[in-house]
Parts: sequence; structure tokens; C-alpha cells
Amino acid sequence: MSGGWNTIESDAGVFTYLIDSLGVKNVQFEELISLDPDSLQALNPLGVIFLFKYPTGEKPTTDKPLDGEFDFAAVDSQDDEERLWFAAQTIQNACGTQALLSVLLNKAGDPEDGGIDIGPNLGDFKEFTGAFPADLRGEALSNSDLIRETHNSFARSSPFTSDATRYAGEDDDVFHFIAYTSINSTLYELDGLQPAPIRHGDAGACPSEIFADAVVPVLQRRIERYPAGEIRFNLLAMCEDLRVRAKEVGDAEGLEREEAKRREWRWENALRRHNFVGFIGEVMKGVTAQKLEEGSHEAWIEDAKKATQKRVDDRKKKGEVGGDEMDVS
Amino acid sequence: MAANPLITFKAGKCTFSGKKVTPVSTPGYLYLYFEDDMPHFCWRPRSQPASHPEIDLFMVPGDGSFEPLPREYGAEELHSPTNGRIYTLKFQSSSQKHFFWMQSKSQHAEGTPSWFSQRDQRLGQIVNSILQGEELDMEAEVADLRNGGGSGGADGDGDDEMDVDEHSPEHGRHPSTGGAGQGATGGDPREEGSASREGGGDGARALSSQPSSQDPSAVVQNFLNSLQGSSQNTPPPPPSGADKPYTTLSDLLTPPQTIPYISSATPAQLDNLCSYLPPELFTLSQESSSTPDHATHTSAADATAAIDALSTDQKREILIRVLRSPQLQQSLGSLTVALRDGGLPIVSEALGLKVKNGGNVRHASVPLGGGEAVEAFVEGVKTTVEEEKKSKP
Repeated sequence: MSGGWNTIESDAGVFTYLIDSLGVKNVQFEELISLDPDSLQALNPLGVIFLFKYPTGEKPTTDKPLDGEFDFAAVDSQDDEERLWFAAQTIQNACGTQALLSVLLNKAGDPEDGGIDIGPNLGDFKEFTGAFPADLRGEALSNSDLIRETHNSFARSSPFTSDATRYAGEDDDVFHFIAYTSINSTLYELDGLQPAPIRHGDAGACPSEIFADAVVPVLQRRIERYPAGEIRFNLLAMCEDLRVRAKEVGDAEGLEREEAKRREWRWENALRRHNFVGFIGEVMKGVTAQKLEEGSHEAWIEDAKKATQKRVDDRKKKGEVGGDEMDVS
Repeated sequence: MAANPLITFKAGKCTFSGKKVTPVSTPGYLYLYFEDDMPHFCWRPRSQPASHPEIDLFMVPGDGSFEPLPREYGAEELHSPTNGRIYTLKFQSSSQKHFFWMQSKSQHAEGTPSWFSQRDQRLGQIVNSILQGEELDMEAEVADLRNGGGSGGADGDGDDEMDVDEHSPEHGRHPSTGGAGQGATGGDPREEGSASREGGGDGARALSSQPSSQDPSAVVQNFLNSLQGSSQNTPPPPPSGADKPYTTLSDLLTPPQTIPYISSATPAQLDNLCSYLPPELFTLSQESSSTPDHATHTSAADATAAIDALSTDQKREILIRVLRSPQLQQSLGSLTVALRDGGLPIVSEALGLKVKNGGNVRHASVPLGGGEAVEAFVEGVKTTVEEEKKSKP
């Protein structure tokens, strides 16, 4: 009986520690600021996670993908070594984790041979679901207590907004995650909402070494499908732990930089996991006490009310999403 | 432009073939705007901004009409032949037709979803008048709708699912609520598979322990989690009359307001605040680059030791950093939502605050909602602080 999945942020720090908690060794994520092959190549990427605001108008195609070819054979292959791990997405909020797993489980192998050590838990999961069809794999994922609980432990504390309050300023857009990686020297797009993995280019034409060069044009074509300014997207590269690489090449500065980044990530994740209700209560009491002493309590409230009203008015002017203020129904 | 609509209300579109009209469950807005004195009739999904309508029909004044689809003409009470409220957009100049269904909650005393209230009819009449090219005092009309028009303030997200069949006698059917017909799930892509269908019972989401632990923060968190599941299906408690926005915790506890407090807080107060923060923040502060990075959990003893090891200034720094963090901002937002959505009694109890009527509407056991709840919260904190001060030497 599957429990609920909360939304998690698409953040390199979140994803890195998520897979670390699942037992994956030596893999991290890096945000890509620009879509150019050289900066991607510099990371020696294992795969790329592309996430974008899911246009509700675009339905998943069933006969032919908009770019590339469906490769049903790769999923059905009888050869254990050759068969691609691909799962149908069953839960919206599990989207990000599913995309991560679709790369990890296909790259699992001996690090000496360029594979990833996915750890015992995911190793078991991969074996268990090895012979399943895609939809059953998706079910297995959504039913996995370990994966779900780990995922949820990184959940953001504001997973929703009530229709009546857009004051939180949060975007409740739907984001969709897609993974791109090279498997069996072929470039694949792994999207849980599609019926099968999508092959870009010819089979065997994309060994891991040229993945960065091959994937960038595919991503560019994808982005161009949406009207300019309509699409908000983010790119995360999955790669080897950069601290390990820095140590190997004796880059002390680089190592320090990466360690500092890790401390940042752990700080943010600690805050993400934290339930702030008690803290907010104490801060509220403390500020209130101070304001009462200073005799500025009323002024404080009035200023806050003005700020709220201003935001409501600004939204009205812009005709923004969720126009409650204009809604007469 | 589309960004300045004259009137906006919750409605969904329908598809139809032959005699059968089928509602599309996507929550949306129907709205009209003028460009060069010509009315545009638009529809968009609620997730899109007003500047990006999915349907934008350029109307010649007088050509279009917007009318409710009645079960029988001339009846005393206006009902739709379906179990939802359907309007038709028709044209003089062509046989083209569009159908839309009202997505606001039914105002019928018993919730009969096919009943067109006074307000529903008035809305339709306003739209019709605009399309006919009549001059309307839109401000007055909108004010009228907001203030009166049948039973007051029909707020509420009535995303009614329904079966619609234009000519089949559905009268005798039970009004379907939730999960009916088309397999529609309210069209909100956020809904998660089958899990969210179990009302708010999914309390064990982010927290693995049920509230048998009396940790007040956990009780509130569970409440927040339950809101996530149910906010799609049940409307928040109706605010009385027109809801004043009041303010939010995010607007109250901004860094300019909170940082002075931290700067002048006593060491005892700082330690108290620190005890409400995750222990890792303090152990991280002690780490240097030579310490290997582990994502291990810090024990309470480690935490206390770490807090003690830090100077007062370091503690202030950490607190300020937290107060500026996006994670705290998100929490302020979600706690505000919780208060507005009926969580005031739970929150005030969890925090030990003295709130009027325990957070309920006077003489009722219904929690306050909307801006009033936030106001009661703020007043409650004030009362509690004043009393605590009196009882201290």
C-alpha cells in the first residue's frame, strides 16, 4: 500500500544527498548554467537530468515521439546485460527521483569499468525489478518504502498553496523530469510518461565519451519546441564526485571549493528537513515582546498589512495566475 | 489586453459531438477583455496567466450570446438538464457553439449542482450583455456579485466532477461528488495516483510517526500534510463576507523585523532559539575542510556540545542566516496557509498560545479561517507574551 510522495526541489544538493542516502557511492550532481558541450564535457557526465515546467497542453504521444524513435526492443531484450531499465511514471511527485534512478540503474557496474556503485539497496531493487515490464517497475518504485521515505525526507516544507492564498509567493507549477544518458553506446531519452525509451541517433553511435557533444543538440531542439519565454527549465549533470577527482589530480583549491559546496548543501538539506513551527513560534513571541516594549507593535502590524495589500494589488495589475482577487465566481 | 479582463470567473470548457456534451475537468477561468472596443471571449486553464488564453474568441458586438442551458424553458427555477451548470456560447453569424460549465461551488441550499443561482444567472447575463455590446457599469456589477447575489460569498473551489449528457434525463441522479464519470481527478497534475484519494488520512507522509508522539510541531506538520491531500477536494472554511487579506507571517517576520531582535537578544534567549533549530547547523559550523564529509545524524548530546562550543556572536550569525533562508520563508508561507485554512486551533495549542475562543468562530466549533485566523493568531501571541511578562519578576 503506497504512501504519499511529497514534492522535492530540483537542486543539485538535494539530489546528491538523496542518492547518497540510498547507498550510491561517489556520484554527485552539478547544475549546468549554460547549455554548451564544453562545460558539460568538463564534468565527464554520466547523464543529464532535464527538468522543465510541464506544459499541460502537450500530451504524451503514443505513436511517435516529437524527436527520436521509440525503442521498445531495448526494454524487452532477453539479454540481461543488454536490457534497459525503464519504468513508467505512476506518481507525479516521484518524477525527479524516478529520473535519477533511470540513469543510475542503467549505469550500474564496476567503477573500474566506468560503471557506478549503486550500493546494495538499489542493487537489490534493480535485480528484483529486472524482468518486470515498464509499468510494473513504476509500481514497484512507488511502493518502495526505502525509496519513498528517503525521497520524502528531502521534501520542501511548503508543498502546496491553498487556492485562497497566493501570498506565500510560491510557484506551484508542475515540473517534469527527463533523463538523458548513453547506454550500450546509444543516446537515450528516458521519460516515464512515454511508453518507451527514446533513441536519438543510431544505435551504437553514442559511446559515453561523446555523450556531452551528442546530447546538447538534442536538448536544444527540445527547448526550441516551446515558445521563447514560455519554458522554464533546469539542467543537472550527473557525474563522479568532484572532490574525488580534485584529490586525484592534486587540485587543492578545487577540493576546498567542493568541500565548501558540500557544507552548503548539508546546511540547506538540514533546513529543508526541519520542522520550523516551534522556531517560528519562538521568533514570533520574541519579536512581539520587543515590539510591545518599544511601543511599536501596532505600527509593525500596519506595515505588514500594507505590504500584503500592495502585493495583492500588484498581482491584480499584472493579471497574474490564480487571479483570486479578480474572481467573482 | 488580455491582462486586464473585465470579468473573470471559474469555469471549465466542454467538448461536444452531436448531442452529447462532455465537460473537460481542467480547472479554468472564463474571462472577457476589450481590445479596440471589441470584446474578446477567453478561457484559460488556471495554471496559465491571463495573458495566455487557450481560447481567445474575437467577438463582433451583438453577434455572440451567452446563455444557461436549461432543462426546461419557462420553469420557475432554473436547472440544467445535467448535474452541472452549463452555459452555451452561440453566434448569430454561424452555427458554431461552445459549452462551458461553472466551476464555482453550487449555491443551492442542498448543494444541488444543477441549480443556477441568482448569482450564476447574473454572471451569465453580464457576459451576455458584454457580448451584445451593451454598456455596463462593470465596477457596480462586480461589486454586486461579490457582495450579494444569493447566499453570501460563494468562495470555495468547487471543482465538481460530473457526468454531462445533454439530452439524457439525469435529473434523478445523485449529484456526483468527486471521482465521478470521466475518470476526472480534478485535472490537477499534482494529484498523486491513488494515494491522494484517501481524503486527508494520509497523515504519515513526511513524518514516519503518527501523532502518538506529543511533539507539538509534529501535530502541526501532520495537519499541514493532511491539507495537502484534501485541499483539492474540500474548500477551505468560508470566510465571513468579503475576506480581508490582513497579512501573512512572511510579511510580519521579514529579516528587517527579526534581525534587530536577534541582535539585542540575551544569551539565554539565543540559546533558547537555537534549541529549536536542527543540530547539524551547529556541528557544521565547527567543521573545517579537513573533516571528512558525512551525512550522518548528529545526536542530541553532540548538538548541545556544539551549541556550547559556539560563541554568542556565532550563534547570532547562525540565527540570522536561518532567518534569511528560503527554507524558513517557505515554512512561514505554509504556516500562514495552515492558519488560513482552519489550522488555528491546532497551531495555537501546539505553541501554547492564548487565542480567543480557542481559535474558533464565536459561539461555534468551526475554526476561524482566512485573514481573521491570522489576525487572531497575532493577537494570541500578543496576549500570551503580555501575560508571560506579568508573571515574571
